[in-house]
Amino acid sequence: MSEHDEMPQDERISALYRMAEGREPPAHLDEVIRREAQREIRRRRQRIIWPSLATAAVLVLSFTLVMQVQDQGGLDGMPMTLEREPTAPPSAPQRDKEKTAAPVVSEGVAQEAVASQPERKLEASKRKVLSEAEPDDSAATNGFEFYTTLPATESQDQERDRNVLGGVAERECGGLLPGPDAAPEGWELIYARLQKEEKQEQAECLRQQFRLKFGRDLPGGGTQKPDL
Amino acid sequence: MSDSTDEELMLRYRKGDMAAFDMLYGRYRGPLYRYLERQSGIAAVAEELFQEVWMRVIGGRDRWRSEFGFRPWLFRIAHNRMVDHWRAGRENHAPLEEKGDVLQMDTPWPDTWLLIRDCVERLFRLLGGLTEPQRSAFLLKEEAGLSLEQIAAVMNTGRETVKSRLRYALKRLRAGLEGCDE
Repeated sequence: MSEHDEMPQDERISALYRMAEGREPPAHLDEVIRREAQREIRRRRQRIIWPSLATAAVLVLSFTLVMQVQDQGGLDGMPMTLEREPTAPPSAPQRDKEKTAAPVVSEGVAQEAVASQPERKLEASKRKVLSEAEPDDSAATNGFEFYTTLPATESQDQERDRNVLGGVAERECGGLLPGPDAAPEGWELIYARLQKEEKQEQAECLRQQFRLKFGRDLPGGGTQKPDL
Repeated sequence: MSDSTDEELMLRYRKGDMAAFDMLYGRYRGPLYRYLERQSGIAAVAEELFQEVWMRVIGGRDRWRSEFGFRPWLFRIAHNRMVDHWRAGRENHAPLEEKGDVLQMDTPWPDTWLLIRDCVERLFRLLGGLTEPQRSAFLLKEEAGLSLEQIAAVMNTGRETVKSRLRYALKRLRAGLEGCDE
């Protein structure tokens, strides 16, 4: 038996029912309901769009951040060329000077400067020229500070050269530079020992640094050939 | 799009197709409104419930399951809203009375037209006198066009119960419509 056979039915009553006027909801209700339906569609789109935009923004920011960290990490990851032997901490005025004269060139550049032998030779000759200049009495107590007291009219390239040469000098001295407060006698002892051990390059470096620092030659270093 | 089933239209609206909603709304605005008006007997109540029902359809479109069908779902919401309305006693349930608005008929026999109008008025008076479950079953069959199973699902009752309610409803209506047979 089909559904229609089972459904209690009276055709005359159904016909009578359909003869009644088909009433409709008022037009303002249609408008309200349509507006709500449309609003829901917009809400849904926003619910979909905003998380997508937020995710995209987070991805872009993350990518940018990663790139920046990689750039930074690339420099940090390079071997340190200007490592110093542990020395006494610099005095307060010296720290202030170092801050004001922050190196323009990164350590990576210094690394590049000492990377190849021809460049090292060139920079050594530059160092010799520069070392001819008499340091100011009020100037610095080490090579770095001497260079920073040069006229401010110099170009950034020259300033970079100075820093590089300072780094080279310190490296060639084999980390044997005495502390900033060391007395000339301490320098003499180190110099004598280097000469005894026939470490001429380091001894020469020490001699030059001594001359920059104290404005005179190391005792016993006078037998060295003049720089020029 | 006019050939699309209710379920297809609802799925499209769910995906953001406003034209599909318009089509669906156009199909059911009349039957739903009449169901509510003839159940409540008060136009203002029918309008309020009508709006509530559609808001629930719009808000609940993601919860709707296509296997249940759209029409039974729509009228189930309407029926539940009607039952809530009766339970809340928001309005005293007035006996359903049709105002006697009958379709104008091109008939050369005014007596026939008057008789039909009188019969329609009697039918709606009789509907108002039915119990709520009987009237609901009758209206879900005549206005919504639901099957026995669908009416049973909407009213949350058994199929045989629906059959029984419909039989009783028709019996009472026939008894009150004597003379409308011609």
